[in-house]
Amino acid sequence: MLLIDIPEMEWDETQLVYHALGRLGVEALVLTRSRSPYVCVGFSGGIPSEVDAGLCAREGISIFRREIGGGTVLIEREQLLIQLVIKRDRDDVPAGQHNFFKRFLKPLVEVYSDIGIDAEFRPINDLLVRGRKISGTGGGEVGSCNVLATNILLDFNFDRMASVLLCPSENFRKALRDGLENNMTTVKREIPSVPSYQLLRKLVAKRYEALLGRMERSPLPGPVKNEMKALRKEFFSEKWLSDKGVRKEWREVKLREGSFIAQLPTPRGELLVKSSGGKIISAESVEGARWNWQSLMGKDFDGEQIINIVSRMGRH
Amino acid sequence: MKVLDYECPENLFYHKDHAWARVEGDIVVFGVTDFAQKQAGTIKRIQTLEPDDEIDQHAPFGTLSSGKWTGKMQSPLSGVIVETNAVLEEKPKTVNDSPYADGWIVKIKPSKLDEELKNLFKAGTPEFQAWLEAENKKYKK
Repeated sequence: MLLIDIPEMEWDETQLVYHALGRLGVEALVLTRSRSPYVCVGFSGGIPSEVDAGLCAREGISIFRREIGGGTVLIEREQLLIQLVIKRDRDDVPAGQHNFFKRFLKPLVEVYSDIGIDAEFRPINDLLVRGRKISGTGGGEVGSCNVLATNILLDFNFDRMASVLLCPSENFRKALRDGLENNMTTVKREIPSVPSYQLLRKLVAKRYEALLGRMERSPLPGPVKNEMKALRKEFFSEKWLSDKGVRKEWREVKLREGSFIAQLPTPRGELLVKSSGGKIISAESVEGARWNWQSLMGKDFDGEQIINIVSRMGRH
Repeated sequence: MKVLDYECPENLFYHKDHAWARVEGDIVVFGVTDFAQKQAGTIKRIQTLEPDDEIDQHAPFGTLSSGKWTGKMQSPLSGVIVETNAVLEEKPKTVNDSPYADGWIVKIKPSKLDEELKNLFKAGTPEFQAWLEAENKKYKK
């Protein structure tokens, strides 16, 4: 397995690299960071329905849609990107997404411990510090490999994240901004002195080598560079970028497992809902209409069901 | 019939990567198994090749995403896609709710039906039972 430790890459290269490795069947651990900020949308999402492209263009924030899972994320220089590309048919690669994430996020939990942060793995793929998410993770099959794409958040711009996502109302944006800050944390927030990138890259390599064996230090191989160039056509095609994702009547953003902010159209007007642990913890009218939403509290967070329940509710 | 905790209709053919095939005259319908949908959790997105696209047996005919993870769906048979399930564009969870009926994924016109059906499992056979038991063990959390 290669260890491709490149301190900085162009923003699009940081995504194209693991797609290229996977399609070529080249196993590697990639450690890098992006020279400039960009928004990265997961396979299930759609740029037109999730990202404020106009604002991104004005602010110089690029946009990418990846082939693997995970939600829409903002990638900035203050994140160490960690991408593991590993053959699916290896004996030490467990079957099933749960098992895959659990096994290959363990070294990252150890790295956090090395720097004095007590992070815990929470299925399916969250790394939490006192209930707050400190890494964003997605994964999937690319070619003959499985890919784990995660990061270490040294610092995070919550305002920028809340501004690049499409929001149906300012109430939603404010709830999103607060929700991000309450459900996420960073290395900078957790410990008084932030370790250097160099030290972090060294620790990550050491922990993954302890799990997977000695890796061969390598620059980006020529065939991988060529594949990245070829993949640009596909990942910047109109068809790929204009994909709207699954059509939904409502807008929702997942903050971490079970925690959502959603705005739903109901017969009683637009409803802003927050959930935690998969259950509704707050509901209010966006337009300020007075309804008693109390009966929604504690119900499962499910957009379709919420709309149905509200449709059956009487005026209070 | 039920094998372990999974529904496995007897009239279907099963691919080792958990897709199923149902022969309906000169058309074959594909979907993913109860085992696959349970492993995936709530399905957030299904994207397939399009009508008129050719597919080969064992090659991917689409991508299934549970949000956090994306996986390829391997084609049980070779042929040409004639229809995709439009319902899944808006309600991919239909695959969770009804993997063998409303949650079908594509229909194809097969090109090597008799030859390739031999490579698939039939529910109720000892080979099918052994394969599903091994898979269940492999995926155990």
